[in-house]
Amino acid sequence: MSAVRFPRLLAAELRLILRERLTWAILAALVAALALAAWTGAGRVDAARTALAAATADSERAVREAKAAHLRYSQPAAINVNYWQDPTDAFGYRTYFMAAYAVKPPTPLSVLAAGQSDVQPAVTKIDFGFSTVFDDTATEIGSAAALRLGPFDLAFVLVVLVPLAIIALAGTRLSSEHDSGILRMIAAQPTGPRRVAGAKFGAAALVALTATLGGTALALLLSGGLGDLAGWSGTAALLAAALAAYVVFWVAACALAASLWRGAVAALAVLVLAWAFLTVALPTALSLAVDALAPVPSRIAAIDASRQAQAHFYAGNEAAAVTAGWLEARLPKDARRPGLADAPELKRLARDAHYDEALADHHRAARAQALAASAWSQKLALLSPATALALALETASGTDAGRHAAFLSEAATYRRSLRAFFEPRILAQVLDPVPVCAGCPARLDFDAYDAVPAFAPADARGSAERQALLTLVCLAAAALLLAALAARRLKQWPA
Amino acid sequence: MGASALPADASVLAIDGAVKRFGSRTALAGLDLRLGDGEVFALLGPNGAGKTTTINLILGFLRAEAGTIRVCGIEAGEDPVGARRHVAYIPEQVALYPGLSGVENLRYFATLAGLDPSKDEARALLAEAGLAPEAHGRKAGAYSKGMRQKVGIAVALARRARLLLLDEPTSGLDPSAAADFSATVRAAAERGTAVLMATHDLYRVREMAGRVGVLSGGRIVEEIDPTALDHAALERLYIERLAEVAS
Repeated sequence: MSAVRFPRLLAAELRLILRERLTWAILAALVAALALAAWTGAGRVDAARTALAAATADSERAVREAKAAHLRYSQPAAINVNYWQDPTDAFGYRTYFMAAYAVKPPTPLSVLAAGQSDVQPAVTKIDFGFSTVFDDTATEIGSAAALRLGPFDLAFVLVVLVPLAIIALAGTRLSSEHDSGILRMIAAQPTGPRRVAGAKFGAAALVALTATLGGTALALLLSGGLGDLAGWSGTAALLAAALAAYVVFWVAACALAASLWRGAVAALAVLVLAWAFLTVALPTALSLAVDALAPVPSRIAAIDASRQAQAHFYAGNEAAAVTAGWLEARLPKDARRPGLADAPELKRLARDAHYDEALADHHRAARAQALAASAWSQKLALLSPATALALALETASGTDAGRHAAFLSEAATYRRSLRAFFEPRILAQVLDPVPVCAGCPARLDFDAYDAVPAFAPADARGSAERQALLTLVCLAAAALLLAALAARRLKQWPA
Repeated sequence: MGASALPADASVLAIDGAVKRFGSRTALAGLDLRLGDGEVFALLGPNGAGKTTTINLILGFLRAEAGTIRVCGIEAGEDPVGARRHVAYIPEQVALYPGLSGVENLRYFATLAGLDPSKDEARALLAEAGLAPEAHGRKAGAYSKGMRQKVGIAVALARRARLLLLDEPTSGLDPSAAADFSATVRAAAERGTAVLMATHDLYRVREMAGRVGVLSGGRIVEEIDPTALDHAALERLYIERLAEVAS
């Protein structure tokens, strides 16, 4: 009698699993969930792209209208344009007309995970208007916790629902045979338990992998949400491999549960508890840990500080004193002239600098907390396969907390660069108002609209690839560990 | 006939001084048993006498604390898979995959044994085991116990195993199915297969077995030639032996 050849045994198990109606019901439900998630994800990415396009259009409109105004006001006219109505003036343009945006564009893989995108903006208008004190008070960084009850996106289906589908598909392999007595027939054949378990769970893994990877690819293609993958194919391949390792991890968990030989109900109970722990309880605990390790600074204290800064500036002669101090720091004594501190433009610049200084500690603390929370999230996410995969998917999607923390810093830097661009021009104009055109209604001192710094979004590719690789290594190691434990326990058939 | 009287040609199954304990309870206390080609041996005994433990030891599901269990010369405790290559086993309740037909179940279990029978070969084996052709393609979920046992026999036939283990084979079968089963087992024995069956069914024992061992207290307390006794005498003797051991 020839020894059992594993591929033939695997093929027999594949036939067996594919003959079950439950298998097809599970696969149909999984593919439907993937398609729905991809469709909603594509809608979300479309909305983000629309918002970005609107921001770009708004910026172009502002420049176009300012240039048209410049042309229009270059002719003498019997009207007078105030500075807050004048896009040809550096201060007027910067404060009332410019439409500058810091943007966080979706990556080609953004359809995978909503991540922080449903609570954090992808577009921030860099505003120098009156009420802009805190550019980031409206948003707060999330953490690994955001994935535990996130929106119905592909990440939710892949991280939370795929394990349930695998448990339904493979959770009672061997243990249901144990309950029905078929195992005794199987065990009486000249084959060891490892080989039979290898074939049974190998077949379940092949079906689950085909359904998960194939279903995801199909859902992405049908939804049309996938961007141009040029330069991102490596990340996509690593993510697919990480997803495969996640599937194998759960199939190995099913094999380990079966090796307890306690029957199908016990195996399912163990697996559902493991699922609840790894995808719900542990992420929640990790989220609490992130909150404890990187506590959010008091927003009330920050808002109170901004209120006090405003109150301080407008109290008594403080505005004049602050403006004088601001001028003193920027102009040599001989350049100063009486009445300069009353210039509304300089008063505004001095006020903004005063606010910045008063709130600097709060800004720094907020950004440091965002970066620390993101760094802790990255580390702690590796403690659960679910959070590890979720973070990899979010990082590839560019919707992770880390990217948003970096985006807020980049937006603040961009704001400073705009201030650095405009301030010398505004100061020069106030110090030495040069009439460009006699009889013209506007100042016409600014026409460098195309030279205004543009926001350059950071490339998310590097971090996405690193996170996907790290996740792949961790998940593969976890899957191998569980498979080895199961193989060790499946040395002998139960009596 | 005493328990120590072993046939000289015993080569398929050789159990020598097998001891198996479960905690403080001794299931087998030095069991000796030899079985040669074509022999049918019935292990008679009350529940808990050690019949199923004996079968589990032969299949390598359990290891004896003392003694040896050899199947065709292979020590079952050391090399259970090697020993099982020579053993076909039909449990009391033959369980099959309910969603597969008889043919598919047979082919599945044959694959586990390293065989690859075609559909036609599988049908021929099922027919040889006595399963009506119209049932071959029907799902096993609708099979009676007798039909499931016939699939179990067909698996054993496919295996061409030298030792057939039967655990309470006729329990729950109607008289006609039990008679069919007896005929099939006798046919297997005539082809040279050694058969060891654990049973309570004295009537079928007389019909099938060439030797009967009364198992009690973890050892064979008496070996009987059932052909030398009628059913009533066999039953009387069996009850007497059990009463002696109990006292």
